Amino acid sequence: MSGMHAVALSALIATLAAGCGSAALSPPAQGANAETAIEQMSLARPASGKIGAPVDVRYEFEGSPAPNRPAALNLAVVARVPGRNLRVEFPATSGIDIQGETAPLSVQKADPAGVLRRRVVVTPLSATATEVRVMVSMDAGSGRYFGIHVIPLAAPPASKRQPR
Amino acid sequence: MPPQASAGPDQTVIATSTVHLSAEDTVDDNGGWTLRWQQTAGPDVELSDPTSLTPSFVAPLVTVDTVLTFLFTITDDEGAIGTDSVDITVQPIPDTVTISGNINHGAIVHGSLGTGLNYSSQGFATMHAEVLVEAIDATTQQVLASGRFAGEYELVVPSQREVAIRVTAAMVRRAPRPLPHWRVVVRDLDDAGNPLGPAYSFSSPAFNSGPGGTHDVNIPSGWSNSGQLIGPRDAAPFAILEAVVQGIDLVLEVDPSADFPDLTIDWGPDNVGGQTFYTSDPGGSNRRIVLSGERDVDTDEYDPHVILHEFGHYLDDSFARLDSIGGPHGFGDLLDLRVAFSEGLATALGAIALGDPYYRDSFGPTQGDEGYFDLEFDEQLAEGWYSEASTWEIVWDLKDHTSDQGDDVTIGFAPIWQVLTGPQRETDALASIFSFATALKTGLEEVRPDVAAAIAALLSNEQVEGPTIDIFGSTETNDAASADVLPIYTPVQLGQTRQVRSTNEFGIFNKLSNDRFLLLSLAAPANVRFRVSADTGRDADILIFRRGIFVGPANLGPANEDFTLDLEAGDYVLDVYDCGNADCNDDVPPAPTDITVTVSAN
Repeated sequence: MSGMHAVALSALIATLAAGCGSAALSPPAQGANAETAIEQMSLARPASGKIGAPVDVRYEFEGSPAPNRPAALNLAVVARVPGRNLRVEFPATSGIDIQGETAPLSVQKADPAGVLRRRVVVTPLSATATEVRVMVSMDAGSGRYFGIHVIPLAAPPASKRQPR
Repeated sequence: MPPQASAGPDQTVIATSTVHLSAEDTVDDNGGWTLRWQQTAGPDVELSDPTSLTPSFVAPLVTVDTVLTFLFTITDDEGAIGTDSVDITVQPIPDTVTISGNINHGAIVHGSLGTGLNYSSQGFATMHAEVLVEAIDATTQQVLASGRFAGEYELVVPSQREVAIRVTAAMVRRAPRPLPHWRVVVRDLDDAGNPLGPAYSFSSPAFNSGPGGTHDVNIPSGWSNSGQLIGPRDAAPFAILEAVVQGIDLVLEVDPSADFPDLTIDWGPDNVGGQTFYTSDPGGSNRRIVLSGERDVDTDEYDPHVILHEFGHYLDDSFARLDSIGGPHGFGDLLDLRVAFSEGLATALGAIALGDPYYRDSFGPTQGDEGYFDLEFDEQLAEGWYSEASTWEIVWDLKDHTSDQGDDVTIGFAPIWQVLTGPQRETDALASIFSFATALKTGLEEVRPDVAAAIAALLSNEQVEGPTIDIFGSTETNDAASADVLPIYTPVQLGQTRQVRSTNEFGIFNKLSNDRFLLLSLAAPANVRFRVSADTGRDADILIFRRGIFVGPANLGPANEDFTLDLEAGDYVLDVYDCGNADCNDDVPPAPTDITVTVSAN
């Protein structure tokens, strides 16, 4: 629950739109295959106990992000049920700089057979930054649902469900 | 005939108060006659306008009762004069005075469906929750007077003192007051998750208590009418309490002597979005709700359905039986039956408390987007005993007065509460739609067979076996089109071996068939040996419950299990799962896993 302020995504997008690129940090050279099968990608954990969007967010880092060391993050978003107006965006997260395909991704129709892929570059701005967040929202059935998915920068957290 | 002057009735006032003289009863035929007020006795005061009909002045400080006299003179066009006088007795300010007023909090509601919060229509609402109100010395912070008030407060404080009114976001009703009892506190946390204080409080601007009077307290929302943050979000904790009080009122309607266990609600602007949940320690202590407060991402303080959903879990845990293992859940997920029932019930309880079937959860920039759904709507996706949507539809339809597809029953909330706090609490099965609906239907079959049949139809409409339902779902035929779902409980006796499959077909952690259940019935106490095994590389685990109470084992290994337990006679539920599917072993990937369970007398 940090009180730090993240760099505004709008500023990043504006920078990208101006074609300035990244002044001080260059994205790392591509290594892993960006089309990794989703089954081989890690599953981001929903952050809440509230009912969420029926969407899986899978991820894979190319390299290891560290303070002031960027790493490419490949995302694969898959709807678990047929839906509409699927939207994927990055809420500002304390201590995290995100560049690349950061504009909200939105598709009118989504179904489990489709995989939406995104590639961004993540740079932790300090050692206290531990995660990237992805917000997904989707209309399904008669309602609309959303959820915040957490991608840890280091190894995945210890399994949540603990034996008694 | 000379003009008839009237200086109004004599008055008795308190020093420093504003006094209004009135000559309005004077007969002034033309409206243009000359008027004049003169003070003729008592300490000098300054009249606001001595030539008007209604001048005013501030009563002077006095140490004893003091009379001020004023002469009112009216002169007509011909010079005829009329006069009258009035006595104003000024009393000293007493040592103590009464201050009172309304406790109001900033209130923000949702706009039209799908548009999130409507800041432009925000206003103040008077508190319904009974909260702690203190008059404090504005300089020393010493508490001068205090009390618990709902809506309007009244406190006796020293006169002529600079005071402030402090309101604390805590609802407390305890002995020696008779039942019902409760203690609900809203507090903030620091970045490390430590409480910043016992509870949120708001202090009004300081004012002089003077001769007493009305001083409303308006707790601001901190938001502008365009959704911009312009100040501290002081009203949020109080808006949260306002939602909770509706949940308490729902229970009190059917159980006026309810004894609510202590509940803490952690909310703060630093509570990151998505972190909204209910939790309690094993055994039920430390009951706590955490609510998101991250602006422009996910805030919950003005989402009463969200607050009351978590409060619904609290009610389930405190008064009924909460067997759920929790975890993430999304629309259309096929869930562990405990999770499906718990989540659906909590959603329905919140909607019932609010009398509103539209669940709404604001999020996004200026909270201008929202998740929403209608509990009245008959969702067709993945209906069944593993669906939280099916559960919330069933429970809502039991309570509501609207007849719609499959819903021709209205039983009100009382029977629902009676089942939750009675048979559901003591059931031998896991707390699920089966145990709940069976108890409800069975309880009504003799006295209202028509209603029991309507309940059965309601269940059937949600693809839950209705007519022959029992607490173990033994007659259930809805297998989610999978060979690894039924039976819900596999019977096992001493000396028998059974094999069940834990699967990740519907997801992991808390999804349908991650856990499989066996039912062990003991006719007599026994020392029982349990052996649980799966293929090499898997991690088969087992948990044993008796009426929702965990009885063992004390420890679980990283692979197979072999242990003994002393058990009393009765029914035991064996919860068997593979840790790869239950997400409790990072070294074991999810996969369909056959688990062999042998139960024998030791």
